Amino acid sequence: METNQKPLTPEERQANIDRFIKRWKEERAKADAEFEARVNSPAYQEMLKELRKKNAARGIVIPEPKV
Amino acid sequence: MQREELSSQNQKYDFEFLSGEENTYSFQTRNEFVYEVLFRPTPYLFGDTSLYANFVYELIIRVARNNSSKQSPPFDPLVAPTIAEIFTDFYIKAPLTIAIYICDSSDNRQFVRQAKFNRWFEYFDKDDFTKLDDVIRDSEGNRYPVSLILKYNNPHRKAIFLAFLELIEGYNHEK
Repeated sequence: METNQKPLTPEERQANIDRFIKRWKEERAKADAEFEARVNSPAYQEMLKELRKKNAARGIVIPEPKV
Repeated sequence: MQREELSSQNQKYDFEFLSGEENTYSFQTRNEFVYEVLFRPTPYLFGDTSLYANFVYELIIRVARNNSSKQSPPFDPLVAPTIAEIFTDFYIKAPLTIAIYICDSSDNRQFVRQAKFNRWFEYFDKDDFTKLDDVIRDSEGNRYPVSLILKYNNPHRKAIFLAFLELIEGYNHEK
């Protein structure tokens, strides 16, 4: 495929990769910080309870979490 | 016995799609593990101003809760078909999705993750989805196996794969 863009130098390409990996790690860390609060919320636990009921109706028994 | 195994392969867990910008799906298993499958917007893969920016999502599959006494999830024949079903469900909502699966290398288990993901991908509908695998290397020498997954009938499939290869191979081939 032809493009009008000037080909990147190896250094520019590496800088792009490094920028991508850096941002990927930053985004992941940000989301992970919110994750614990979300999965421990009553709404999340209620959703899991409903899923256990739905699975049980199809014969897939999922044990209740031990408190 | 074979019939029982086949029946087991076709069974799946019920899952729930949660609202939120990370497009999170959740399901739990008989082994008391709660999994989440996320499609996290990743517009920066090809650059925030790229034509494809709004269609790129990072696919994340993680254990959200371990309510069992085991350290890691034992083999469960229902997990892979459930993940495949979730994947299909998301592509029904967003057919032009470009999913990138990146194997974390922070604990040096990236190639174990890649092998596991490849086993899960066996359950995906091969007539519907196509996958391109490669490895990204950062300047510190860390290697990240990556997979790019698209609907086979994505009208931009070839251009997207080419853009992806240019993005990662440019560097790798110079090393």
